[in-house]
Order: sequence, then C-alpha cells, then structure tokens
Amino acid sequence: MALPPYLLEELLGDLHEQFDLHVEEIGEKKARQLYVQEVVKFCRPYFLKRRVSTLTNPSANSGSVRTSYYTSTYSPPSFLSPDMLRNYIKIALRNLWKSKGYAAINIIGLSVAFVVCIFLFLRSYLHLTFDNFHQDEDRIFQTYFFSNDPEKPVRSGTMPLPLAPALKADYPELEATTRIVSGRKSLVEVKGKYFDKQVLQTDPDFLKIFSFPLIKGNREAALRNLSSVVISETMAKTTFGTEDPVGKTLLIGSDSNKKQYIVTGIISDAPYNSTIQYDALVRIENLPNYQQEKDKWDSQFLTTYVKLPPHVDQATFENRLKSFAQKYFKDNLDELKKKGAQPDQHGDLFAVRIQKLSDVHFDRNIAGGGGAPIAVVYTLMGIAFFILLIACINFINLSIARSFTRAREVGVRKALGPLKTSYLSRFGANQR
Amino acid sequence: MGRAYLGEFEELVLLTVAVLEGGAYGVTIAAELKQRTDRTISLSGVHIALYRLEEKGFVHSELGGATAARGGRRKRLFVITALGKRTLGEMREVRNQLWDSIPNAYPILSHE
Repeated sequence: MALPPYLLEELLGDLHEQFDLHVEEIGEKKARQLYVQEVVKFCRPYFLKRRVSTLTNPSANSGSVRTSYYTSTYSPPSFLSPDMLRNYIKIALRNLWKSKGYAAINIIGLSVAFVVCIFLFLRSYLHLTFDNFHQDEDRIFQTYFFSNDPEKPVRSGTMPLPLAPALKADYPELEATTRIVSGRKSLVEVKGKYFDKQVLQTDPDFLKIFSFPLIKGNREAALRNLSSVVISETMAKTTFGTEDPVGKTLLIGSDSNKKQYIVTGIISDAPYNSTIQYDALVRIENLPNYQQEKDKWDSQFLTTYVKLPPHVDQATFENRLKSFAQKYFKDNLDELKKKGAQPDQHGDLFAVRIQKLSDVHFDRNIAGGGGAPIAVVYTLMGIAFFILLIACINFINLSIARSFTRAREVGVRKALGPLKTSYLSRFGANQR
Repeated sequence: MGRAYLGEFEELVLLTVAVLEGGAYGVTIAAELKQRTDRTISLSGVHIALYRLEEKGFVHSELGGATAARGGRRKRLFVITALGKRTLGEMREVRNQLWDSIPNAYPILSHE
C-alpha cells in the first residue's frame, strides 16, 4: 500500500514466487513467517521515497523502459498535502505556546508597526493625490495676490467679486474662470423638511473647469438660469429619497433671503481628497448683497479659479498678469510704495499670480489655513519608514536569538527527509 | 576507480546477474546468492541493490513474461551492461594486483 505503484507488480510477484519455493523447502508454516518478515523488510525509505535526482534527471538511467517508469504517476508527496499542513500548524502552535513572551513581543511589535506604517502611508497618499483627479488638472489654477509688504511678504487666496469678470474680459484666451463662495452651511427646505447643506455660490464655468461627473443634467445648461440648482448625489438621496429630483423645487436660505430654486442636475459627490466640497451649486448672483458688492475690489471673500488654454504655461500667464495688477490695484500699489516696499525678484510690488490646483493643498496661505505643507507629508512618510525599519531589526534580532533552538528542529526534519524546498518553505512560512 | 562506488553486496548481486545471464530477477538472484554464500539473503535487500545498480548504469532491466508461479504478475529481468562488465573487470584487476603485492600471501590463502 505504501509502495510506489510501478514497483508493486514485480515485488508482489517475487514475494509470491519465493513463498512457493519456501513452501516446498521448509513447509508452509515457516514459509508464512518468512513471507511476513520479507514484507516488513520492504518497508524501508528506499522503497517509499525515490530519489529526486532520478525523477528530474532520468537520463542518468540507461534504458527507455526504466525511464518511463521513473516518470510515471508517482511523485513525492507535496508539502501542501493536508497531513503535512496539519503537522506544520500543530508544530507552529506548539512553538508559539512554548515561548509565549517571545511570540507576544514579535506579533505585537510587528503588527503595531505594520498598522502604523499602513496608516501613515495611506495618510500621505491621500495628501499627495489631493485634487489631482480632475481632467486637465495641470491647467487648473487658483489665483492669489502677492504683495511685497516690507514687514512681511503676503500671499492671499481670497479674491473680490469683480476680479473674475475682469480677467475674462482682459484675457479672452482663458478657457474658463469661476468664482466660488463657500462659507457656512445654508438652510435648505424641501417639502416642509429642513436640511443644513453646503451650498456653493459659483459661476456656470464651475462645471467646465472641474470634472466632477454630472449624473443628470446638461453640463452647459445646468447653471444657465439664475434659479437653477445642481445638487450632489448624497443630497439628492437625503432630500428627495428615491424620486427623481430634476425639475423639482427647493428653498434655500432663511427669512428674507429665502429663494426658490429648480433642480436642473445631479452631480457626483466630491471625493474626499478634493479641496472643493459641496452639497449644492447655485449661481453666484444669488448672493444677498451681490449688486452692492459686485464692483468692490477691496471686499475679498471668495476664491477664483482659471483654466489656462493648452500650451500656455504658468510663468507666461503670470507675466501677462503684470499689467492687470497695474490696471486694477493702483490703491494697493500706492499704499505699498508709501510703506517703502521694494519689488521682489520678479519686479513686483503687488501682483496677481496663479497657483496650480494640485499644489494649493500644500500651501497654507492660499488654501486659507487648511491644507498640509508638503514637508509634513514627507516627514510622515519618513517616520513610517523608520518605524518599519525598527520593527524589522527587532524581528531579526529576536529570530537570530532563537535560531539555535530552531536549528535542532531543522535537523530533525532533515533527518526525517522532506525535500529541501519543502522544509525551506515551511520554515519561512512558520517563522514568527 | 574513478567511477561510481560499488558496495560489497552490490558487487555480489552484479556478479550474480552476470552469472544468471538473462534469467536474473529478484527470486533467482536471491536463491543463487543464498546457495553460494550461505548467508541469509532478504528479497528486499536484493531489490534495493538491483535498483541502485540500475541507477548507476551497471544493469539494465525489462519487464518479462508472467508465470503462473507468480500469480500472473510480470517479473523484472536484469541484464548486465557493458559498463557493469567493465567495472567488474577493473575491480578484479585491482584485487589481483593487491593480492599479488601481499608479501607472503600463501599462508593467508591456506588458512581459508
């Protein structure tokens, strides 16, 4: 039963024949005893396990017949056979139980290190991929003011209302410009129910610049009307439930500022790694004091984004913007001159500049206090790597300290004769 | 001898295979050896020796016909190869030389 099948026939035949001879020679009773003895003697490793070399290199044997039975169906038992696996697991558990302190240090140390590392790397990944999911994200920029104040150079991302229309008028090559007023959540009323939602006041170009997918509605027409509103997927579900919100009305604002809007589209939720977050979009003209504010250059409270045409890079466009600052910010320039400000290395006292959207997140001045400086992100990654390194060294140390005990086990296993690959892989998998 | 190592028992089995000339298989070899050496010879030992010899290329085997005495099972017939013959010859040569070099060999021989 334990014999390799290709040997079974000839060996049984020989045993049978010898038994007959013995019966003639020394009688049946003794022949039976001898037969049993012979069978037991056949149970030795040589018959149970063929050499690997003859299996993999049958050319060592002369004769084709022989070759064919070496490469027959018989192969050494796989180390993945259920019996061996059970044995491995058993030994592993016994080893763990025998050295509880050691195992605890190793397991806790490694797992804590892994968890911390994964957490830190994911965190870094989130920040590094911030805002880079937009189509043409390398052409989307946020405008900011630079003023070379003698006390401290200032960069600020908050813009006045008239800036975007002026940019549009003076630089017709811009593909799109949009203003965004975020601020606090607004009260939204749908069929007598009230919700607190982040309603952004913006321009129709919002849908041209940013590629948040529109689930329902037309990208061009969705914000054409002053009383249109585009709501996010989540907001559609929470406010309208299962029914189709397009064409339905809702009320935004409180008391005297309350206004009725018609839903013209549903937009996907902004991903978590987006600077721009929203529940609904309406036209910026719906701001309560839009008419008084729309020409005031010194009332700065919103952000402005532009989309450059292809083949125009940031430096080129910033150069073109120099005259823009001269034209619209005379007051600021005069004031700075009075303070004794000197032009910076670009020759600017005061300038309108642009920052790539994917870099805004790392710039605390422009992002308005939010964001994560890039140095912090890299520091996090460095810490994560260092923790992993320490955990590995700790693991190596403990393993070396225990390797002598393990060496004995390997010795026994070698003597019992598994294939080399088998105990190597087992030892690797079982290493704690 | 620069070739594969040949143990004492293996050498005896190889010689027996040569003696039996085509009729050599487990049982006949065991019987022959038993008769000639007066030792207890186990069938399994003979088989191991045969397979080792085959791995080393000294014998060559083929499955032969079945007989009623074997319960209808085929037997594996072993034949000595040229390499086996050459090796045996070389070993004999070495032994002869050694015998010839013993200073007073005759007394030892007469002792037997």
